[in-house]
Amino acid sequence: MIKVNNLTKKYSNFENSEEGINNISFEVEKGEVVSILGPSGSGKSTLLKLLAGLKEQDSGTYSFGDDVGVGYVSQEYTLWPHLNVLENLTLAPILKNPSYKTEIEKEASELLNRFDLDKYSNTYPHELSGGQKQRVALLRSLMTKPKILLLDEITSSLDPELTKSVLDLVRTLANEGYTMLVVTHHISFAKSISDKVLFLKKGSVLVSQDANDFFANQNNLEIQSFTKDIEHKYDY
Amino acid sequence: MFNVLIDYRHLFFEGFLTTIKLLVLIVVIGVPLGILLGVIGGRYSDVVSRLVSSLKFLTKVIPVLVLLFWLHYPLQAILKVVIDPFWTTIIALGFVNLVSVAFIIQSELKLLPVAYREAGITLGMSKGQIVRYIELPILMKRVLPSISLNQASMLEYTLFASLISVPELFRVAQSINAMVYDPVSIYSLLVLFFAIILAPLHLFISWYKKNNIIEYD
Repeated sequence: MIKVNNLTKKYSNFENSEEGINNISFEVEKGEVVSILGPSGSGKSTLLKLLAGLKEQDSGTYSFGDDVGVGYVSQEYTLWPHLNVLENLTLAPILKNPSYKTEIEKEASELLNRFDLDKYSNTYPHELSGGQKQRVALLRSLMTKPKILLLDEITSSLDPELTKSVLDLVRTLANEGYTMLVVTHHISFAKSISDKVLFLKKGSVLVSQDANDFFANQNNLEIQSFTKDIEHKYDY
Repeated sequence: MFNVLIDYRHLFFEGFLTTIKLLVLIVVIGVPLGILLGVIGGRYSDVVSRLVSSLKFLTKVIPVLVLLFWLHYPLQAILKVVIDPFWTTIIALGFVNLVSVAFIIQSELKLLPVAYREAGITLGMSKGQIVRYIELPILMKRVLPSISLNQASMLEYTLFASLISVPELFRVAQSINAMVYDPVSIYSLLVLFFAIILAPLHLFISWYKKNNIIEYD
């Protein structure tokens, strides 16, 4: 499970264009999928980067209970350009366990095969489409055997057709029991996979609600307007 | 053409050796120190970064030949020292090479997407592993053509050393021509020498750029 307690990170406007977060607290149960929604600059990416260990909080704490492994995929293309797909998947695990190189490569090939990406094993990132890059990045994060996945707008730079293939993969992983925190702009996708929704505004949690209630019985006019706007803008 | 080469082979060989010594020393000073300065400027220190950029600007606005002459005559007169022209050339061209290499490395480091490092961190790689297996290979693939081209320019710049009496290949060729007056043979030999060294280097760089260059998303 994920337990976040009064997490705060502040930026001076001159230091960073991202917005900070202010005293955020919430809990995510094991196997739960939580969508994080909110306008630009509300601190969604900052929250995920803090939990992924990429930034250090000013105050507050977070813990993952017994779930030690955390996988993180960002909205940027992060596949290492000098390595092919298979090498991208295997580099980190092999460095950790050099004596299991053959097993790790076999495991990576099986994973690629399972998600129909095995034909790209020897392909370099610049030869892949945006959707393929993001799917490979997701599979790469699975190679470290995480129990928790943090996904930060992983489809934000993709067109609708490519977006669908990535979201289908996320949906499959959600069904497999991964605990997930998903920042997304795709309302129909969030509806279909979420158990809970966190709505952030200016670095704070405006609403933390069961997903069915959030989407079906939303009384907050600001949230209603936001979801309507982005549904129109992003959903395929 | 080759008769001159055979008759004056000792002189040609000495000139060739001096040119190679100049080049090796300029490369040995410029490349490692340039990489070190570039890494510091690109990753660790804004002051060094600004210094490298300023020095690069300086080397752009002051032609190499003028810098060489200034170090050879006015500076030594001001400081009341006499430095061997060979070493003056090493200092001048070593400095230009160092600044260029540092600027290339610094600029590339600033372009390197942070997301690559972040991906390594989230996959549990150590800082050392990220530098060794991700950043350095990407950086080297990106900068190798520029740094190689820079070294080719350094070989060409060694010709300027002849103007401050360093007995490198061009100077030797001029001296031999003054003795036997056979400019067609002598300067054709020079053309051949530079073509033999520089043509494969430029062909390699073109091939490398075509096959190995890494574009960021």
